[in-house]
This record gives sequence, C-alpha cells and structure tokens, in this order.
Amino acid sequence: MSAEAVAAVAQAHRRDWAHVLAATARLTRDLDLAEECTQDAYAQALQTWTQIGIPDRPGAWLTTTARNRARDVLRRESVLRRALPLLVPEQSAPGPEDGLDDDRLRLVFTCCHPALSRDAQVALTLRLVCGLSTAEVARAFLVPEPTMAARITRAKKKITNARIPYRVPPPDHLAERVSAVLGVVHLIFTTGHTAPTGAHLVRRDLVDSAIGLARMLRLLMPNDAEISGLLALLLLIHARADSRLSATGRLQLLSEQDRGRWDTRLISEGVALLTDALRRQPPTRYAVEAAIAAVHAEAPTWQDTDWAEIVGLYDVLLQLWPSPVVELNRAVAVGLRDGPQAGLDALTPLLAEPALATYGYLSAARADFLRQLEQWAQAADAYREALALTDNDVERAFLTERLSDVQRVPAGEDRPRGGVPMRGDEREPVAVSRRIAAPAADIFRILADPRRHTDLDGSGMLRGAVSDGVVSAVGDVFVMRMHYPPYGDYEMSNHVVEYEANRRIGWRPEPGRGHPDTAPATATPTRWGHRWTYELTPDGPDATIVTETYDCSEAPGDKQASMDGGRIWISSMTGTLERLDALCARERG
Amino acid sequence: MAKYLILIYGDERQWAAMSPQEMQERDEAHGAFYAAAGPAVLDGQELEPATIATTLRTDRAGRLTTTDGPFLETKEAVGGYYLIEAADLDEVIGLASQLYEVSAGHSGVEIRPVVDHG
Repeated sequence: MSAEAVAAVAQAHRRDWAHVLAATARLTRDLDLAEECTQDAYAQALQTWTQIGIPDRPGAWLTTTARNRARDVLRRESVLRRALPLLVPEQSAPGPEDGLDDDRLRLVFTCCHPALSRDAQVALTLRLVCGLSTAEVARAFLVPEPTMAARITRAKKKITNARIPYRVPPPDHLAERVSAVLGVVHLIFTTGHTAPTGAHLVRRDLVDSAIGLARMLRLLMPNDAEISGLLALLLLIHARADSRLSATGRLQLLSEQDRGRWDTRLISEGVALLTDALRRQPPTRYAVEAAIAAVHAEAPTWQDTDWAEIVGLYDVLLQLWPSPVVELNRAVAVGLRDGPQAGLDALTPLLAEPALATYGYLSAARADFLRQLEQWAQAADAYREALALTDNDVERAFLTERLSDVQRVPAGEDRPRGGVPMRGDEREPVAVSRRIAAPAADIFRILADPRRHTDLDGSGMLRGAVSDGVVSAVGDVFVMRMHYPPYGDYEMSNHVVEYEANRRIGWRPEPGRGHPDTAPATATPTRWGHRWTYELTPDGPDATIVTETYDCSEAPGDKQASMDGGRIWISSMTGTLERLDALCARERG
Repeated sequence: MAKYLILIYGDERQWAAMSPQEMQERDEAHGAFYAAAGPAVLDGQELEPATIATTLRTDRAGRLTTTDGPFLETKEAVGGYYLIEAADLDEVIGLASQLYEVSAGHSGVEIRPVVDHG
C-alpha cells in the first residue's frame, strides 16, 4: 500500500462517500448491500490505486466499482433477493425540479425522514451520508456499539419495510423536509462543538461531518436561504474553534478569547453566505443566529461588542424560534448591555422554567453575574449547581476554578454594592476546591487514615500520627504529633464531628500534650471552635471534586482576627489538595 | 404497491361524550376522506367501544379463558381502522393526515405496514 494511495483514499472517503453510497443504493434498492459494496470499493481502491496509480476522478472510479460489485451480487443472489422488501424507487413521474436530481440528496432526505426518530436520523446520516463507522457514531453519542448497531439496523429496516421512499421530496413538502435535515445537521454540530461528556471539549469528527453536510446541501440547493443561513452559522462559530482553549487546555470564554486566532477566512465566507441568505427572504432561525455570531466575529474586542444589536437580534430570534434557551441568551446579552444587576433580573423569571431546570448554562450565567456583583456566597452556590449539571471535563475544570475563586473571598464581604448585609452577620468559612482524577472512595480512604495526613500536610506542621488506626465514626479521636517553632513539639487531639463514608469527614482540633494552652495555669482545654472538613462530590466514576473547608466562625473574635478569618490557611489548604491529587495519581500509577 | 393498516386511537370517554353536531362533523369528515382516497381504501370500519370487547387467552393449565373487555386496559383504545393500498409511506402519511381524528386533541392514528408475503 503506497502512502499516496492511502492519502487519496482518505480524501475520497471524506469527499465522495455519500455520493458513492447513494448512487449504489439507487441500483441495489437495499441500503445494507449498498453500504457493503461501498466499503468493498474503498478497500479495493487501496490495493488497486497502489498498483496502477490514482485515477483522475477517484469518486467516479469508486462509484463504478461499488455499482459493479452490487450488480455481481444482485445477479448471484437474484432468486433470494426477489423475496426481500426493497427500497421504494423514484416514480417515473417527472423528476424533481431545480436540478435536485442528485443521489446524495435522495440519501440524506431518506435518512432524515420524519417517520424516523431523531436519534435514528442522526445515526443514519452519520453512518450512511458522512461515512463514519458504527463504532465512531456510538462513541459520539455515548452508547455501546451494539446498541448503535441495533439502532442503525432498525432504522434501515423501517425504511425498507414501511417503504420510506428513496427520493427528493416533492416541491410542496420540500421546505419542511429541508428543515428536518438542517435540524439533524445542527444537532450533529452542537454535539461536536461541546461534547456533552468526556475529556475533550470538541469532537472534531462531528463538527467536520456537520460542516461537510451543510456544504453539500448548499452546493446542491444553492437557492435555499435556510441552508445558507445554517452554513453561515456553523462557519462563524467554527471560526473561533482554535481560541476556545488556552495553551493549558482551560476553557476560554468568548470574552477571554484571543481574537487574533479566529479564522478570518471562515468568518468572511460565513458573512458572505449570511448576507446572501438575508437578502433573499425574511430571515430564518439559523440566519438570525448566524447574524449574532457575525456581530461577535466583527467586534475587534469583547468590550467593543455591540450588545444593543445582539439584544435586538435575540428579540427577532424569539419571534422566529421561541425557546427558553434563546430567552436565556437574550438575558445574558441584556446583562452585558445594561450591567450585571440587569442581567440577573432578566435571568430571574427563567428560574421557574421547567425546560431549564437541569440546564447548566443558566446556573453558570447567574453565577457569573453574582460574582460580578460580589455576592460571593450566592455565586458559589450557583457555580456548584452548574458543576452538578455538566459532564464535560473542560467545562467542569473551568467551573471548579471559578468556584474556588469566589470561595477564596474573605468572610464578611458578601454584600451587594449598596452595602446592605446579605445574610446577616453570617461568616463564610474558607474553602478550596480541586477536581481530582480518582474515585471518591480512594480519596476518602486516605483522608480517614491519620497516618497518611503527613503526606498531605500543606502547612509543614504535622509530624506523624500517635494513634494507630483509621477513623470510622463521629466521636472518634485521633492524636497527631505537631511541630511549630514557637511551641516546639506538641500534640493535637482531633475530634471527629462529621463522618459519612466516601462523602464527608470533618474534625475539631483540641490542644493536647505540650501545647501552651494545656499548661497547668490555663483553663481546661477546649476545642477552640475550629473545624476542618473535606467534602467529596463524585464527578463521574473516576473523578471527584474535593472541597476542603476551614471554619473558625465559632472561635473567639481575637483568634479569628489573628487568622484573618481563616484566610491565612488558604495557601496551605491549596497545597494540601495538590498533594492529595499527586498522591492519588501515584497510587493509580 | 403495499398495504397499510391505519389504526385510529383515542380516548373512548371523549368519543362517547361527543355532541350530535360533533358526530355529524366527524361522519362528514370520514365521508370526505373516503372520497379523496378513492380506490386506495380497501376497507375501513368503526369499532364498538373496547368495553364491549371479549378477550380470549389460555391459562397456565391450558384452559381457554374468556374475559370481558379489551386485551390491553388503556385509556386510549382503537376505535376504528382503514386498510389502505399505497405506493409508499409518504403517500399514506399524506392520506392519513387528513383524518378527522388526527386533528382532535385526544386522538391520533398509527400507521402499520402490512407484511407482504408475496
């Protein structure tokens, strides 16, 4: 196999797969057989092109080869095949108008027929039109491969047995059927643009498939403004792809992105398509969404964004496409135009919207406005809510960092700009969070074993455990040997006050042997009113959000003041969680 | 050509509560459907309510049991059917979407292809 042949076959796979399969399906009237022959043709191309060179028209070569193979199979199996139901062919009535006589269109309209479920439409389109393998389609939609294979088989069986016709719909149904196809393309793109779960933010194969489909539709139906609108939208959003992650893999918000890395070629292509789409007819949903993306694309900086224009476009979009998600985006734009309080007010009515009850972006948007208003505790709650609602690792890392930021703010500063206390005089404990790639049970096992605490210590004061054994219930006491230069060596008795296996563990320290507070002249030792707590929130089966909290709200005022409300511990707490992370990473090898 | 069975489903209590005027509208609508579908309709009937149905099964001992009522106890029941002959699913959807029960809130139709044994 020559490298040239491999590259040529890969290119032909991207460019010609749909055409080869669709033209073969028209001959076989059987999608399974067409798929098989198409696959065989590509396999044969690898051999033949290595031997005789790459043909001038690879697509035509592949189509001829696939159709010849299909003819052979049909001749051989004609007796058997006569008994099987076949695809319903185009009737011999006059062909579709506007030059829509294209096999790829027949294929895509059949795959996206409204009698098939949306899941089936997406799966069939990716498999048959885009040429993704069943395993790839299964991975994209997070289902086991046999499940996806069964879904595709069932859909193909329905096409044949219910006689879904293999044709371009007649003119009176064309508009609604094009919308159904565009719905599938849009869904493939959005699934790829921010993968709902997993380690990567973007699934490039899905994004490429969606843009490829939109380009193909645009090529075949150049006069359809809705198609131009969707292609414009996809290109304008995709133009920002390279700036969505920082060098360290952190999610970059639109406001933070390096606009110099936006793809200007895609932006001008998108804007030209959009202009074309808007000129031809009243705007469609996708064209308005593309117009919003274009306003962003053309703003030199985030600060220069024309928010009034964007709010106006969202108003138009709400007329064309009323949806709670659009209302959410509009509310965010209002906040950017009129300030965080206006944004928060615009978001408030959406809290009662059932469709948004599990939509993480609503929580994230509120959290961000609350953070700007310096309402730290409420912002933290909203970030925690958003974290609970997304499974994408990159988004989670971003939200965890933001949560940590707002928790780091000192006690007593949770006031709105007017200076009115938000929650009485309640003091917020100091907390630090970190996402650790280990199951909660593994982390808990370390935390519940005092002998391992020296490995975690970020303060440098711990010397070792006196007690020999693990903590197993509230009421347990474990004694630690400590060293602090002004005191020398001493001990602390830690009383376990919170214990929920694999979820939560907390203790209150009490001065022990050698500590100045236990000298004969002083009062009976007390537990000071300090509390250390670790809270573990599973983040999928293999990761955990660990939040370490230091709460000294019950300590005497001077003690609190001497520790700056606990803030002096933040850096050692951060260090502890880093060590815990490293320890878990070592244990997992 | 292929055959399809169109099953008309709906809430029987709502069908029973129809006013004479609504019933007349419904009957006229079915008449219009018949006329529009022409020879495509091979058969079509309204059914007595499911409460009048009789269900036969065999118990574990192999004895025939007769039950008063439908096979499945559901709020929505089959109230009628059409047997249609058509070239493809699009053609049947085009016809069936004109049926009166498709536009009434509590009812709808299910299209089932008939297996062709050649």
